[in-house]
Amino acid sequence: MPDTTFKAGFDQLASGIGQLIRGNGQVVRLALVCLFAEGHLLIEGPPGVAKTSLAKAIAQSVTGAGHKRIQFTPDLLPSDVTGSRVYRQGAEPEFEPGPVFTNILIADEINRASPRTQSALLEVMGERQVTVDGETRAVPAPFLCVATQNPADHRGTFPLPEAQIDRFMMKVTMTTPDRAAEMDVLTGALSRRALPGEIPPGRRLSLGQVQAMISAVRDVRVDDSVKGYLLDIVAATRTGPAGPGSRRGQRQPPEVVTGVSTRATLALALAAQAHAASAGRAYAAPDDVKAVAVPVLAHRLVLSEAAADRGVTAAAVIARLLDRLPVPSPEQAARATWQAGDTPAARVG
Amino acid sequence: MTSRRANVQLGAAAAVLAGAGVAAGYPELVLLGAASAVAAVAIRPAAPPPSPRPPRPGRDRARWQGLPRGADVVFRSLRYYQPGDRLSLIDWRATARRGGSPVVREFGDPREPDEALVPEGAGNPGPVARPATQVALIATALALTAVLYGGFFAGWGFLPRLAAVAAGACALATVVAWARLAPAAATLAGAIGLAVAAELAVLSGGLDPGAGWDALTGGWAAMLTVAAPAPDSPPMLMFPVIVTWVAGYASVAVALRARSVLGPAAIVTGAQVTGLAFAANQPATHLLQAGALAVLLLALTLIRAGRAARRGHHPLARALAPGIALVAAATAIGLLTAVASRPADAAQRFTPRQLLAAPLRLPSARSPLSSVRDQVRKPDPATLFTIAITGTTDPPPLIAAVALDSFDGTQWSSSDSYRVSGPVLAPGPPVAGGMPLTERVTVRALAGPYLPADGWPARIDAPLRPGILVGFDPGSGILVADAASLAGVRYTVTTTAPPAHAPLADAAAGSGPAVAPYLRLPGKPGWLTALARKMTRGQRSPDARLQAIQRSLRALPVTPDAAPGVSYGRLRQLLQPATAQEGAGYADQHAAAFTLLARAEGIPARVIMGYRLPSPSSVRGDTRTYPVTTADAYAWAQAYFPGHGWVDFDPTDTGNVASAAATAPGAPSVRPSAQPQPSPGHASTPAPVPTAPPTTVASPPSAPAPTAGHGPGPATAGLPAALAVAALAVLGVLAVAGPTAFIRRRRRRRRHQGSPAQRLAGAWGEMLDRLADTGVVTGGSQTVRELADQAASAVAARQAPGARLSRPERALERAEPYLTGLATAVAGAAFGDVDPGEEAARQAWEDERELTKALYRRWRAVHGARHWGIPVPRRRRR
Repeated sequence: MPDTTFKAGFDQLASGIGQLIRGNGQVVRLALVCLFAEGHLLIEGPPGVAKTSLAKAIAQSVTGAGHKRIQFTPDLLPSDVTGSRVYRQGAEPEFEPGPVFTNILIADEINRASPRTQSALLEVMGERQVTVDGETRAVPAPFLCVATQNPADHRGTFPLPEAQIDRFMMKVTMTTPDRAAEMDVLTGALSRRALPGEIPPGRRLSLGQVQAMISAVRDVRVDDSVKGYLLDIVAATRTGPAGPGSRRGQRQPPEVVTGVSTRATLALALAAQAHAASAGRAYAAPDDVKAVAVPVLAHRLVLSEAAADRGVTAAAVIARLLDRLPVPSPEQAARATWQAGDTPAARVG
Repeated sequence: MTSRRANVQLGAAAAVLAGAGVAAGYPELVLLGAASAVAAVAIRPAAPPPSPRPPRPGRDRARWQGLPRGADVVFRSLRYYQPGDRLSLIDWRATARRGGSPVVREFGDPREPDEALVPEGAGNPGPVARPATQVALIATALALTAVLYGGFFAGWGFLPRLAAVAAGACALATVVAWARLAPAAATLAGAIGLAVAAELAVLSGGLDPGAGWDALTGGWAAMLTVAAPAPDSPPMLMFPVIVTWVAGYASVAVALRARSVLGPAAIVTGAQVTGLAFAANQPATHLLQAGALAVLLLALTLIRAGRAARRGHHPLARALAPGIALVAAATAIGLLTAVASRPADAAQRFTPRQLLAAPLRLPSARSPLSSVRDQVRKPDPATLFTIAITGTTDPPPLIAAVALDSFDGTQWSSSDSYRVSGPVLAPGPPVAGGMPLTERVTVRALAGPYLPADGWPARIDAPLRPGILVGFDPGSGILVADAASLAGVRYTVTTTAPPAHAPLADAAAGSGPAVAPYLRLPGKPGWLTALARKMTRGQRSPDARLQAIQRSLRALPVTPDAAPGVSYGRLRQLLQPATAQEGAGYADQHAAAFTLLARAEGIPARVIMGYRLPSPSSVRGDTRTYPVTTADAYAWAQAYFPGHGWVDFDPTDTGNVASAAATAPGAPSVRPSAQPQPSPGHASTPAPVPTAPPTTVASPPSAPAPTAGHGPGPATAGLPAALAVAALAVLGVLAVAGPTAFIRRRRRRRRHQGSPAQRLAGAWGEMLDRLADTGVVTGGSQTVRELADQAASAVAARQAPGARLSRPERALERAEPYLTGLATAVAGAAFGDVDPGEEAARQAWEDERELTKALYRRWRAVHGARHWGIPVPRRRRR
């Protein structure tokens, strides 16, 4: 049961990373929510806004966890990611594990590799296993992929395939820090003469602690009304005049070509649970769903070209949906949760 | 109101309106109701437009949009260009697509949805769609409601005044709304404006506070008791001016300061209903006016529902383009429904004036018919009045004073209902070849209340004696004055006199519900119909039959000393005499017999008591003066022919004097003591009238008959009207009590039912309702925590220097301690399974009470009225 220990651990980690990554505090917390929901994280932003630093900081802050890094380049091959059989003189061909066999995988500049190479990550991100030459090998648990990328309109990049995009639980966007934060960065850099610094040991968590927290997230209660709200949100993004599962009278946003997947539904629920736990609560409220909806859903929406031309962003579409959809009424939820007596109704899920 | 609530309200209002229209006999209301019902189904309110945000100069895009520096700026939406927007924000592609109106892009931070509460109370009305068009529509609609008073007032001089009042009210309300005066100040401004408008429009600049106040308080009663057409004098005009002013001011204020879709139209409809109730007593219906009003109000509602398009050229056309089909269809359906339902004859419909007795205090006159003989038999004929007739050398020889239309078997009485009247009188039935006469009457000694006039009066002019009110029944054409003695009264009356010989040869007798009272024959005795058939044998046309009856009656001997009485029994003796004594009669009996025989033949007829015109005493130019004395008292009959009006028939031949034997005082049916004894003052004292059957002497129901409002017509018409009033009253009570009871019951349920967690959440719901009453928009996509944060930011805003909070913000600021304290517990109880416990639930309801106290620090009782079923915006979705 997540309680104050979860919140304490979470805050400890967040403040440790926050010392390295100035500004973007909200992004750091979202990234950690993603970590504890055991989801893969995609960090996006222009060059020089500490995307890679954030990825490294997350990896460092868990002691005892293996972390490896792949610098994605256009000439990178799938076997460079997954590993391959290596013939050594006088020996049987031996499997040389690739960098994915680790706990935290940093995939830097992921969109600089060709789609062929990017696809090498599909299996491991989806199923936490690697199949090479007919042999399937599991990667260690937990397995998290933290990727960074520049927005796709830069030259020499390949946009991520949809299947790949969908496997990321969240996409967070980092921006240039404001003046005060940038002053901090500058001061710190000048005094330390090294960039970036290290996370102080007292602010790290052990791998065991992180695993316990990950399993605690699954215990966060999601009320039926909150589940309904969550389904309302995903249904509202979907195709068709009244997309499958959407409520009567709802129309799909005109800018959207493809709505979000069922994987997104699960990811949204899990992220909401982790967000609730990070606030020290044992239950997920509609606020938690709202807080994570944009990073969880926005990157999965496929917008029409006309909408993209107009400058409409997926984040804006999701934000508008959240603004329009009614949240569950606390009165009705309480009535459903609590039976006539003082006992909660049978808990579902 | 941007939810379906508005449609439900519109539908309910439409049903009530149409129902009231059917019940009270107003097709105009049916039309409005049906059109509104169509609109309720068809109008779907649009989402409110995004509020414009002031642009700011700067190099950073975020700062142009008023966002904090460093915010992530993404496209949010498009909106129309407003003066002051940066030109570089114009989206030229979208502009081209939308036909030329410049469109700008709006940007925002995706992670911090900055959609705030949009308070829709008085403090922050938000943008109003097409304010100028709305105000113009309201002013036009109100000017249109003034048309209703057209049948009420003599002449149309009131119309420009009322239109000016409507325009003035709308203009003042616009200025007040523009200046954002506080509600109290706005009300004060409206009251002052009303005083000025009343001063200019009603009192015409003559400053007379006393008269103004009288008109202000007594105007409505004066309107209800006066007979149309009324003079546009201050007491009459004041009430329409008040209605128009208040409706215009309130409607525009609501239109510009609130987001209620229906409010302005509802207020104008109220003015329409008031106008119908007060002024639509004339038989004409106002379907055309109601249809035009429906068009205007539907257009107004369309604009307010945000359904008006923005394309096109002319602003009005642009506003109405997509709704024109709807408006036309709704009005057409309403018109058809109104014509099809046609609830009742327009003349029969209910008006509030049926409930208000006229302030005419008429002396209870004795049976006027029996007074004929009393006067004739006076030994010294006294001059009653002199009448100077201008306009013809040959005036009709009979001057009518009283029309008697109802017969109960023994007595004739009048069912006239007199209304206070101005100088101009309602027009009577058309008379072919009628000639206008002017008569100056000077009364010497005449018992009230009837004012004699030769012909159908069209206008009566002072000088009357001060303090005497003139009454008029437009149905019978009889004038009265509310004085017991008319001695000294002078008046000039303009009449339409029928031609001496009306060409009645082929004229049909009157028929239909309007003349039904003049065909009533109680009991319809067989001997009467048989006698009538015998008299009229061989005659076809109504006129010929009446002439035959008249000939038969004129053959009877006449003497004022004959046995009196006009009962069936006495008249049968008269018409089928056993002795010569029985066969002798006088004008009153002949007139009564003629009327009964005519009715038996199916021809509407009535008895008239009045005076014969003597020979003129002086002739000056074309003015002849006649001194009328008691010896000239007379009675005759009138029959109704459409197109010719009431035509006189004189069934008495006064030259045919009965022999002395017929007048023997020992006639068996006459009691000696009842023999009329001429005595001074006899005419003004009610005396039992001797009739043939002694048991029916001066039967109580008919004796005081000629007083106002006692006739059988209004009495029978009053029942459905009373039912309609009762139904409306019940509806009104339900409309107030229903929501109130619902609100109370919900509160009780929330407070006492279920587990502590449910009661805690109930307290939260109740708090939100209290906040909604103050204009805070809650619910929708806003979570518990977000509302608490909103309240916290209102507290923070208060601490900023020079802060001026809007009303909803103030409410949130006061509610903040209670909201913040409860938010976590509510979320835990609702979405977690955290049991708050009894104590917390109790505390929550105490907080709820404290919150109400905090919200309404002053005028708590007044604000309490908001819970009395007054619809307030609540729980709206953004």
